Amino acid sequence: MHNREGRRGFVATSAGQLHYRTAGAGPPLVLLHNAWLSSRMFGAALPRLAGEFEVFAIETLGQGQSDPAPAGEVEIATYAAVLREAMAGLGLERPAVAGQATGAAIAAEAAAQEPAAVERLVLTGLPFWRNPATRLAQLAGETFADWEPGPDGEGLRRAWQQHGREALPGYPGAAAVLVDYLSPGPRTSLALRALLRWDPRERLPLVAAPTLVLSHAGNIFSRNASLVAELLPRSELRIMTDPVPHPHQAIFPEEIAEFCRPGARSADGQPPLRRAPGVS
Amino acid sequence: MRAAGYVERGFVHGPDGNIEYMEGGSGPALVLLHSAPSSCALFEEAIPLLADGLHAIAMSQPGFGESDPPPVAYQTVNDYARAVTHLLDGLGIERASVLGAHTSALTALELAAAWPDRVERLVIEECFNWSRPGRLEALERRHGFQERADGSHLLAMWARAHERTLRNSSEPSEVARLTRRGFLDTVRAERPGPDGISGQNASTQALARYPLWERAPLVEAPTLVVHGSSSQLGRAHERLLATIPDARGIRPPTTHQFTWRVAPELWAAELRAFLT
Repeated sequence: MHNREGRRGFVATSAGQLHYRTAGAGPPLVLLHNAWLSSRMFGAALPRLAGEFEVFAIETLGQGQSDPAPAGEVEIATYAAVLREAMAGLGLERPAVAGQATGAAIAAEAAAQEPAAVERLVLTGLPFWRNPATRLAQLAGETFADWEPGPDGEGLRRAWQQHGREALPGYPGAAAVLVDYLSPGPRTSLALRALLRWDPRERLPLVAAPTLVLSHAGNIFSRNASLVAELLPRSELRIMTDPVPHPHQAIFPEEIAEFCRPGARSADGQPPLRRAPGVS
Repeated sequence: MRAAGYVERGFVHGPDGNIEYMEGGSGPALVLLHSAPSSCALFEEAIPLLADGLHAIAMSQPGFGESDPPPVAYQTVNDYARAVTHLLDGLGIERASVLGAHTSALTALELAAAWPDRVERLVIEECFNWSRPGRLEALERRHGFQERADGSHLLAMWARAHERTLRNSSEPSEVARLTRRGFLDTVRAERPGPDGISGQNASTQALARYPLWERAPLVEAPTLVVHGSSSQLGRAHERLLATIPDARGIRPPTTHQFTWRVAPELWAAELRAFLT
């Protein structure tokens, strides 16, 4: 079986069909990609994790090959509810969920909405602004505005020069990254705007699942990762320092596996977690 | 319960990887094969038009759309036809009618010639013999894109997708949507497979060595041959009717080549009449 891309499929939800890649056998593990990208970013991590987990890399509504999101703005709460429907539709019972960046926010929100839905949580590079006003101010800026190729396609050249020229790991070429940027349709930044409106200070304390807070030192949000860990009732913090080419898209399969591996738990079934300081 | 017009998406896991498809409707099965460089998305809005009376299934050929590129690039039209049997096997369909649009008219015809047991009826739109000298070069000129550091190849792909869209659409938001989709299909067709060969390149080479006039007489299935009234490819129309044993033809009015978008209602009615 030619399995370079994993087995792929769609799972129906009330909001549309979500595309996923799956591989492996074992306890269920769900991977959630960065906004603007797709499950393709797990091209290298999938085979590694498939050795001990049944892995599902599920694409966020309106991104990758998943169906477009409904009209209007969408909240992280909606993405998370749709994700929980998809996990149920795939027959996953209490999977571990590991999210990247915006995918981490969706993972955490799903765990906050329904504590029984998530066994363990890994938040890689969760964006966290010290000052909520700074976060909300970005909604008005250019960075997270939708962009269009424009009638002559000139916007493509800009995107190519800014992001596209270098293939990310897992992508069969630089242009494949652009396919992910453009696939959602005209609302290219919908999920990022949802992220900016999502308040982690309110939501993270509701997460009951043991959580690994992961970040790479080169990620601009790594300096706030300890604040994320403090907001979570049961958390462990790891900052990765080995050089990586793309700190904001870096995936750490070894750490995910170690934290989510059932055998790694202590005798009482609880993980060897330290409580984050300042949380009783 | 599915709403009317619901198009379900899926993948079949064949020997050469994942094959993407979209399906809808109920009735006799009809497989829709897209032209290059496109994907099953070409038929996304067409499937609901057929849903009353036909189970329409559009597939992306290996190396196109979201279908995986095969481990080793396909060399022949017969390879592409075999991939259709992988789709049918994966869906548990013994026998189906097959429609091939433009370049994949040859794939559909080859499927009928080589796997007569699997093909109920055959519809070929804008079928043409691409194996004459000079035609490979014409295809490559039309569809080849060299990656350039400044990104100008993307603008060329965009312009081509825009030009193709304008042939059949003029409403601005539809033009924007279809141009974007055409561009995405082109980028995906140009991505290199595991052996470095793109789906577009493999398919072009396969077309250019296909012996159409040797294979057409082997088609047993009743066949509908469609060329637009103004299509240059219509040069092959009469010869196809004379060569395929059980064939009839139509020449719908067009200003260019025929695609279902030129006359959606007429297209659906003709298919329903021919296939059910």
